[in-house]
Amino acid sequence: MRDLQIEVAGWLGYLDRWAVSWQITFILCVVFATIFIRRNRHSSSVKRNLAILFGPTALLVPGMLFRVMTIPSGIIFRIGIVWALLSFINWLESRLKIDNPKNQLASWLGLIVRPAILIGAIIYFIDRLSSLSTVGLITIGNLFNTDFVIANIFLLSVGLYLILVTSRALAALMAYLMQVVLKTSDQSRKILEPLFQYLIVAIGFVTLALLAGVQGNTFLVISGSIGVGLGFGLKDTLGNLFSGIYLLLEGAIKPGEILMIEKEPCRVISLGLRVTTLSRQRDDAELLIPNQVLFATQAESFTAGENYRRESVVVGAAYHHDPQQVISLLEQIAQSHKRVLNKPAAQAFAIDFADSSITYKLKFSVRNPLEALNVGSELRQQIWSAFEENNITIPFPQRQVYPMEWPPKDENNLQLTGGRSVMTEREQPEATGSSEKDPSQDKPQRQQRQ
Amino acid sequence: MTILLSSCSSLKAPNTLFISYPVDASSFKDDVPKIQSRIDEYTEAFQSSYPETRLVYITYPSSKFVQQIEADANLNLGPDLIIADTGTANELLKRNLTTILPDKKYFQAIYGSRFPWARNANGKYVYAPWVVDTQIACFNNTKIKESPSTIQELENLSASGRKIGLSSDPLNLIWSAGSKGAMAEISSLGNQVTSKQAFPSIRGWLEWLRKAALYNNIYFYDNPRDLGKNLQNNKLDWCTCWGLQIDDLKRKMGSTLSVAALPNGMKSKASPPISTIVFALGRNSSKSQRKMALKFIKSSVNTISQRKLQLRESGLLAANQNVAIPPQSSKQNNALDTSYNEQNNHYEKDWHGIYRWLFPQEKTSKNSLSRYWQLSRTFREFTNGYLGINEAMKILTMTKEN
Repeated sequence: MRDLQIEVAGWLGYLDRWAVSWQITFILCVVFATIFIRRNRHSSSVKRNLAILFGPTALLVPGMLFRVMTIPSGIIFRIGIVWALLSFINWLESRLKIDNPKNQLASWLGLIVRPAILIGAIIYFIDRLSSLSTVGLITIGNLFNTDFVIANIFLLSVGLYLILVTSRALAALMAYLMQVVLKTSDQSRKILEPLFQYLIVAIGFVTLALLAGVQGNTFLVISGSIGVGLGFGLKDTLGNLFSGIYLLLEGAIKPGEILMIEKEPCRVISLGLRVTTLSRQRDDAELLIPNQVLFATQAESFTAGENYRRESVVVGAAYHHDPQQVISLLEQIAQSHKRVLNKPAAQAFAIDFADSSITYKLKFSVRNPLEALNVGSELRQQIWSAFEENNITIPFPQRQVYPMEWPPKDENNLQLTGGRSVMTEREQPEATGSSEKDPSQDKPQRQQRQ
Repeated sequence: MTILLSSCSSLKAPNTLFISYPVDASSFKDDVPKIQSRIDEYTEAFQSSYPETRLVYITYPSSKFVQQIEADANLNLGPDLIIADTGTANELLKRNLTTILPDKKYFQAIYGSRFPWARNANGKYVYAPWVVDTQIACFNNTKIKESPSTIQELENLSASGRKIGLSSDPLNLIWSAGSKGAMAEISSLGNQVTSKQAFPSIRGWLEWLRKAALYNNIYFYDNPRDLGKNLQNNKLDWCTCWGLQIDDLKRKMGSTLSVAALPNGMKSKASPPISTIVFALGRNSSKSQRKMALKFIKSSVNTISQRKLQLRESGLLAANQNVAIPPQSSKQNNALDTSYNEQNNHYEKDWHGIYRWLFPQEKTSKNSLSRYWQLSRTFREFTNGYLGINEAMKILTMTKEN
């Protein structure tokens, strides 16, 4: 580490040259002016864009003029180019995100292009201030008899970053190519994607470690130490990772499948390194369930083995209707619905002799499991209409409310009400809407559907 | 962090001297610390006189050294001092990346008539020669008691079962052209003053090389560095080497290493090439840095400093004309003296043409090197038996005109 400090401290010696010190002074002035302008800018977009443009322009234009005038300006010009590139990327990224905050290109610009420009600039200036080859050889630590030099640490850091950022896209590409070659289903492709991702991360990590000079034995010792550390510190994370791999290999849960999570149907979107992502039908909410939870708990699948969803509608019809007629009508309604599958065919059953009706159950299947709720709702509406047309009644309990005086003025009153309903004397006029006794008060006031 | 803070706290930029030198890319990691410690060792005088001046070494792979210096200089971040061989120094000068040394009289007194190529038309020094590295023979004295003095003896040595190592690299093989009397013809090719002759000496040299390649115990290596490695590992008993390698070989072989001058021919002397390491001034220095760089050069090339360097028996020769090699002091000095003063200097008039033949003066250094690569490939293929003598002759005697 001391060698690195000495190296970096040595660079200050360049300030002894006026050609360098004046350029650094100029750049610092532009930086401070840019900070001042950005802090005091108003909200209009034109001024905002001008504020973005100020820094790079204030370096590039004078940089070119100084060059013509043979005034040293190489550093100014190059810093200006890097600044201009970064500003352009920032501007492009913000433009792309206006219409779509999840724009893929914008994500790539932020994750790959911007860090690449920054790293490229850092490498370039280190190579100018010193020599990249020399700085790369500076040792900053020793672990398990392996010297960690700057070049290797840099390689490891950038490599790991690139692997983590691009592994998903690479895995998707590999899975897509596999699908094209082997003509497999979309579901298989989605299963392969995370598997390929794990593979890329694992191979990439080992390759980088070996490239960085970590020896085989050292690697084993490090792996062991990490293993112990993970055992304590990252137990859950690792558990989720391996649960995810097991779920993928087992094929019990696949993207596109419908699971009942807390009695709500949810579609599996993806199986990730840590969590499984599901979309809940009711409110389109995205659920992130740790793989370990899915692995350990009981889950009800509506699509295991089949892609369609079985659903049912329960309805009651009065006792005096012929059950065969009702069953046939129910099946006919289901069969006429466009989104109800012919195979397996919809079937209706009389399932119970209830208190006031015979209960029927219409079972049907739909292609898209998440449409089951909509189709059920539409079928209920059609059943109501069909029952109306065929004079089939759906019985329901009725409640009659009779007003009365309390306490009773005489026994007749008490006998009249028969004790079925009780109302205080003070409340009576309000309930009837009149202080006089209305003959209609003896009739049912309202019918309430239970 | 303390160093950084202390540097920042002082209002004046610290006294820093940026020194740059090229290192062979294939052995960069191993060579950088070795070369740096050697420079530190040889420049003790400066460092003890100016302890407040920080020396910052910037090393680039030799293959892209000039390009890197150019890129640095374009940002005014070029080195104050460059330590390089004459070929690289000339290329830097051609690209205006170095400046002429002031104080002509001082350097005239140091070098006298030596190194005329280090001066420009006005007699000013464009760089200051520091040390001279010359080609010699290294051998394992437990296997070989006395190094062969002629190439005939060398053949006999191989016939007796001793393993001989030579390099097929043109610069490392040119010594044998002198032993076979081919230097004048090659030089005339380089100087483009050839008459349409058959070049009998060059043919004789090639015939000897072909004969050597056919010997069971004479091995040709593409990379000259492999010779020293194989001598250390007991795979070779005798090989050509350079003075600069002696320290390293001594560390590994101890007292079993002996050195000698390269074998002469029956009628002519061997022609070992030399490599002169020079100091050149960078063009971006501040006044104080330029002054310090000049002090660094003077403290390294003055007579006292150079005499100390010579007496260290490092395998390198002092460039200062006032420092003579004491040949009687050791076998090593005797070998270096013979190699430089008797053998190399014997062909003083031919060397210009020889270097022109190896590195023709082209518009770009790339073109100049392409001829060297062509010669390297020719010697490699010739010693491997892919090329015949006539085919090799055709390539070797090819000039710009034909």
